[in-house]
Amino acid sequence: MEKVDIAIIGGGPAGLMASIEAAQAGANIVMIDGREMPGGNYYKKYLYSTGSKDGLIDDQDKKELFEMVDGANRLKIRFLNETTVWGVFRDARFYTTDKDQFPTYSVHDPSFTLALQGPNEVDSIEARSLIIAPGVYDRIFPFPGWTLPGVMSLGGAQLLLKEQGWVPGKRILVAGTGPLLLAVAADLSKAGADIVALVDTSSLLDGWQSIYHFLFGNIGKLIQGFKYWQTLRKYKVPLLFRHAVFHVIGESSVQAAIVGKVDNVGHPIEGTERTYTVDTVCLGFGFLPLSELALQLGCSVHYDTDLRTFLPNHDERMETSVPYVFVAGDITGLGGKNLARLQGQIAGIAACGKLGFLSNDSVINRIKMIYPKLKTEMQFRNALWHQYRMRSGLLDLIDEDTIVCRCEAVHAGIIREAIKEGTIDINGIKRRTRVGMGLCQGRFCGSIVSELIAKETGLSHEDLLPLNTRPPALPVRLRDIINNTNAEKVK
Amino acid sequence: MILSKMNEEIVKENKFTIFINGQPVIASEGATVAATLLAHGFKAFFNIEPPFSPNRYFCGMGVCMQCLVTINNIQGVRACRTKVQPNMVINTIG
Repeated sequence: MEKVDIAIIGGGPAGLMASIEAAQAGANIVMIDGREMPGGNYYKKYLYSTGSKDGLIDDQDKKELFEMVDGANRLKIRFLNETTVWGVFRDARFYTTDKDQFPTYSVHDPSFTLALQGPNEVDSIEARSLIIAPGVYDRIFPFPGWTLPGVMSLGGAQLLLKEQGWVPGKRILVAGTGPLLLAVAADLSKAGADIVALVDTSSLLDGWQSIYHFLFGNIGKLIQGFKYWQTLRKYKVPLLFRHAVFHVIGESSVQAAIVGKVDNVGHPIEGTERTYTVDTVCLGFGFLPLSELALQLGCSVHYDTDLRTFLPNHDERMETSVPYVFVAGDITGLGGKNLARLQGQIAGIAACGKLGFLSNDSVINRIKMIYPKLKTEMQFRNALWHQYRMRSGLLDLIDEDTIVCRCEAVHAGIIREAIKEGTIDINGIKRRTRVGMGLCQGRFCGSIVSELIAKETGLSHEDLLPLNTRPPALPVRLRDIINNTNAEKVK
Repeated sequence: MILSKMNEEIVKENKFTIFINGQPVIASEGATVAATLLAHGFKAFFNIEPPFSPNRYFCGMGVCMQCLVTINNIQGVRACRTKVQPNMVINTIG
């Protein structure tokens, strides 16, 4: 099996910066990403000219990406593209035979095995250290009708527009909460779609306390936000704050959406409904981290009350509770591209320090230089997600027949019944109702089941655990696994 | 290796024929199966018996598994992460 010093999972802003730092320090590294090209979801729009409609390209970002790619090319970084990491396994030496101490991390030079699937004819790689930078995906809040064709995530709509140059609909409703709503609605308007309304559960008014953090050192981001707002005004897009989509109606695809007011914690207010005729609904309630690989490795997690999700713990060097495993980028709490780049740098430097490619002094000095910038970004991140925090009152929209787990077609009624009968552990509910057992592995329903348990039982989220995750993290064809095993035998 | 391929010149204007449910349609090189299906008016990508919901384009980044279609007789392929190829046979009906 091929051995490397550091395997970097994810080729976005964090993964690219980590790769460059690590390769510069002389480590033998490999960067793995599911896309054809590096850049991740953030930079994808600069890679395909099919998506480069006028005004959708930010020159500064483009320069940044090409600088990183040039750097990676000069350092001859090995990039496994279109490759999925479907499992991470710790060296057997990580485990002791003493059951009381399981697992212990006494090993000084461990190794991790990554199980891969992709066109590059590499089925597994052994690495001495890992940097996990897989990024995030849209969080969805279910309500009646959300499973109809024509409903898509904000990220999905943006990818269609910017990567494929395809406008997903004619009359589009953009709904949810978070800064991406403005960006997607503005870009879709520019591309010629009719945005019938932008529906945001949060309100600009609840953000005034954190205005200091927004302003301090983050003028650039505010200007960007203002530009989106100007675009939406130009195209006369109605902005509905403290509103939510209550219901999506349609036979075989979306035909109309019912929108109404919500209070400051998200409870729908009856009698405020109005109907919009639409063919597409783009939804996004913030993001959730792709933390399954970190969880598979046994990294400890904490619950973030604004993001309402579990995040892997890490120290100031980005190392997790499992030694030699680092995290960087949005998986640590949705800090955006700039924070991801800084965290990637730190993780790359720290991993090289851990493996002896850099002296401890130089690691400390270099991290010290990055920290002031990191702090500013963190302040912005915390203020932003406090403003756009998930509002649990929206749970009232989930009626008994609303599908919570789409993959296994599990309705909210079945889950609520299981909770009422005493199954108050998310993994117990999974075993009982099949929620989260489907192809997406609970990525979309897991957090909702936690919310339902917390609401019905009054338990705090800290007491609930995330869904168990096991390999394969993504569906793998058995034929591919069998072929790999045979290849190993022949060798 | 692939890094060096990246430049602004990846203009993908080549067109070729693919088959959706047996019907020949024109597809653009570089487009995903999902974008091609949407461009040809397919909102439901695959119909499964109730209570399951029809497959459709959703996350676009390969994590939600909601856009699965049958491509060249292989079931359960992610339409959002698969690029169209000449003479590809896509099925959206069971």
